[in-house]
Amino acid sequence: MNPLSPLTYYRRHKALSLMLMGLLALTVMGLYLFIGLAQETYIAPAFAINRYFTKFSLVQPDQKPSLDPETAAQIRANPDVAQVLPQNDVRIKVANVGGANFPFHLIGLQEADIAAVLTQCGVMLKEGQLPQTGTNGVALSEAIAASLQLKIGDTFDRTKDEKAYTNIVSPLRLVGILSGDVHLGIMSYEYLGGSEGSRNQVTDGLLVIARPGRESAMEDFLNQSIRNPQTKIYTRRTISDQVSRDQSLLYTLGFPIVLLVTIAVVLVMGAINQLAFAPRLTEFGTLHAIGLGKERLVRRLTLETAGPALAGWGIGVLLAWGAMAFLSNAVYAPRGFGFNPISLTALPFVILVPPVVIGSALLTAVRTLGRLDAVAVVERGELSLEGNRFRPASRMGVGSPSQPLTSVTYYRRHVYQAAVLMGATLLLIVATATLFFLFAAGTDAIRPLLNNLSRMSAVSPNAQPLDAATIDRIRTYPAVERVINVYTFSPVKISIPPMFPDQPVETLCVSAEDMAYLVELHRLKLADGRLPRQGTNEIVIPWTVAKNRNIRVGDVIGDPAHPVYPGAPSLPVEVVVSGIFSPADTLADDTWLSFMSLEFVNQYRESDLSLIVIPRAGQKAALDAWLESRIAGESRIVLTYGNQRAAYQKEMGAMLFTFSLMESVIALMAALALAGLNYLFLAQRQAELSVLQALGFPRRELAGRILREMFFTASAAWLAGMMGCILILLFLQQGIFTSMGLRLNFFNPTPWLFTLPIPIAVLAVGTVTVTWMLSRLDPIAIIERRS
Amino acid sequence: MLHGENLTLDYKDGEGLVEALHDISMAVEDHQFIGILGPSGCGKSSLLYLLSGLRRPTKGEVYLDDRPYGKMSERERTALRRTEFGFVFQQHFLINYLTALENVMVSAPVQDKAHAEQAKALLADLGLGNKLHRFPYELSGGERQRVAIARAMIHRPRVIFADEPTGLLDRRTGLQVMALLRSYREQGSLIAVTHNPEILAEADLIIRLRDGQIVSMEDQVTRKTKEADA
Repeated sequence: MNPLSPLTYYRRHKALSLMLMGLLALTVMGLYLFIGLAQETYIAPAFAINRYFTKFSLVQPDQKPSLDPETAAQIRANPDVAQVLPQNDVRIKVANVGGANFPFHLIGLQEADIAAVLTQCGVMLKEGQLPQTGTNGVALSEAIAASLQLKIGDTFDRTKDEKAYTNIVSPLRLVGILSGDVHLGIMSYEYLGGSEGSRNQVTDGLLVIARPGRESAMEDFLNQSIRNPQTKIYTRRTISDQVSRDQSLLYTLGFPIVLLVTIAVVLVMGAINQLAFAPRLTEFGTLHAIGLGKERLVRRLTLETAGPALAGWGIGVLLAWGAMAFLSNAVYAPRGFGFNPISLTALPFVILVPPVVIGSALLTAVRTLGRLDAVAVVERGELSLEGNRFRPASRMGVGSPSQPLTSVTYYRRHVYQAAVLMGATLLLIVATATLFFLFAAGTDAIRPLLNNLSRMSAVSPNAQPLDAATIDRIRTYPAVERVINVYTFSPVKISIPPMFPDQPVETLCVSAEDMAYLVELHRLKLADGRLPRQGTNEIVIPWTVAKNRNIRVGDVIGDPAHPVYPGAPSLPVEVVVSGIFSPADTLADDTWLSFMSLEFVNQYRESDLSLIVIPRAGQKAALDAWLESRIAGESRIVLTYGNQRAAYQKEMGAMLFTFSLMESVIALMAALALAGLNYLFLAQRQAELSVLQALGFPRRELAGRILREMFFTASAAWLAGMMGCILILLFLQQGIFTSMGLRLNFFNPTPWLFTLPIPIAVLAVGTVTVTWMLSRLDPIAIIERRS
Repeated sequence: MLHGENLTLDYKDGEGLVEALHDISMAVEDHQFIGILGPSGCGKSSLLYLLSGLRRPTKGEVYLDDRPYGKMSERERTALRRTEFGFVFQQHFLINYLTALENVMVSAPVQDKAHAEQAKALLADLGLGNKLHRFPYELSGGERQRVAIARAMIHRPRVIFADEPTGLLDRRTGLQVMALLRSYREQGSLIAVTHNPEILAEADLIIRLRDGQIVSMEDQVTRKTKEADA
């Protein structure tokens, strides 16, 4: 039996050990879930649903109708290639929880080739049938069908879900369900290539299967010898590169949050350790006096923290796995995105928590025991750090002697306690709110895209051109001022950090007369150059896009050999920047309108014309309501400011909800940790509170006083947190967004609201703790014990 | 002014019931100094807690100006302690992060500058005029107890309850502290509990307790007669 072993200490100090363990467990669980769920919601599914690229590769032409015969011959001749199958495909988007969307290829195959692809992927038909030649049938893996909420017999196209099926103009029918680890979407090659199927956004190419064991070699061959500006390659590396980029973004966003939370927890645990340590100075002084070296005492103190820290860490990881298993089964799996809960992705983010906590305990022990004077203990019979906590009054000012029980007086005399409480709260506020500020920064910056519809609406054809009768109805509607023929496409993409690295910006291709009208309508001014001339390949772009992509007047967009910016899409024909619009004075007025000559684009356009509908003055709301109710339908898509804003808010709301769930884990952890710390601070003051009660201060007044003190620290921390958030916003604005031509909305209330949960949670839990503790306060017990 | 009738106090000790006080009746008049004397564990402090309303008796009743404590709410009894009573404990029980002056101001009826001046004057009267802004740990044991006395006096209570006020002090300091407490008789009553008869020499009435019961009540005349006889 070793009375000085840490185990003895844990057994005799169960409450403290459990508190430290619980705090670490909650912290680790919170951080693990935060990173783990972000990974499983926004990143891992991209790889999971496109895992078919580990079984085969796709080679497709870019901006051309078909692959060069030489390219196809080169692929067929490669010794690492086992099979080359003709394929075409159309892309859909599969939505996960939390507003995440992932592209998924519906692959068109000849009937004779389907079996080979299924075998290669280890996939079998589970229900229904495989697509028959020339029909619009689709066979989907059950997870994808579940995610899209489709069952056999259902049809789907862009009218059902504009976001998921943007490229599906002619309806497709689900005819079969596939099972297997690899998710597939298979349909008829002939249908997709035929006149009806080709209305969809179909790409034609080759499906390439490697010889067994030669997958990497084939991938190298495709990437090095086949990939070029006219040929797109989809391989395992394509998707893994995308996942790596997304993962880097997660790490960039997650690391500062994890760091701040870890520092806050170390602060809290350090304070708890110090509180537990102060009453034990006599014990350590005596032990030192009877011959135990300071090194041994330091080791013992450190081990006393190490045990709960390591156990708490382990419990936290296990709890996180448990929570992830529950979420995977209850929430993700029904949508086809179940995952392995024993994910190690988040491990690097929490692995350093115990060493940092133990290191902090070691430093505290070394610092405090370094000052231990055994002689003082022996001579005085006591040794308290308490006396050293307050500086002599003569050096700290008289303060406010007439109001000794104010929060200010208390915290002026307890600077360390105030610093720990406020510092930890501040760090946790900033840590949790940062995510929302980054999120809001992206969503605010993208707002001008919506503003494009602030003075006009649009009607697009679906599956078939707009009929003359409909066009006539729109033209003659009383609220309509003008109707403009337009063709839209996206020659450039804007980068909005952190969430929208490639946001398409649509160019309106209109006649010269209409262009002049729209420029006037939107009060656009040229900052440089001129408007595109009729029938030319010229384009005028918004200032933001020019700044964002460093594009100048005279630059050529669409040249695959010389992209105007890294990763710029190639176009069927190059366009030249003839002008750049000035930015609007305010973010609310900003639009990202870009124009080209319709006469020029008509030679190359691949789909039917749309209509821009301009309302008469004061008739925008009435027109939009009419368009949405009377014109929108299976063959027509109506875009209004209202419906696009609603769709946008729905998508953002889903992401916000997911972020909120993640934040609530950290907020709960923070509230419990800080409430625990408050409880310990309060426990230290039992004598003070007892005496005050004996002197005639009612419990309610004492509770009010303690709560005022808590409110004081929480408010101060919140104000400091707000300042921290303002600094973050200024950094984002000046350091990142301004240089990219983007603007933040400092007055968007949403992210600011997310600075509140932690102080509110701390106050709520603190109120319960204080009330409970004061209800149990027995002044006589304290007075008699001390006497 | 303050009187207790048939006070009995039981409390649980493990499985058994211990009778701390048994059927005690006593009265305190204005400006009276009453000493409660007895060995450790005889129930002195318990009697003090009952008289001050800190604890409720198992049987019997305490009255202040004929108002029974039993009919007062917890809040009313708490208010009574704040306004009518003052306390000096064996340990000073000063708030360690408040200065001497601030500790006294804790009990001031109104925490304003006028009362702060009064507190300063009181501390100066008690010989601590130059230590107003010292923290408790910067004061000696006697000085801390004097601050506690000032805290008990600042709101001019009708009764000061002193529970072993000299218990942790040396004899000379203890006598000084008692002299200060006695001086309060001009403004109110003093009830002091002790096991040291020396500090009760000038008490108007000494109540001796043993095993929770009164064994004798002697006023000053009786005591002086006894002393003369002896």
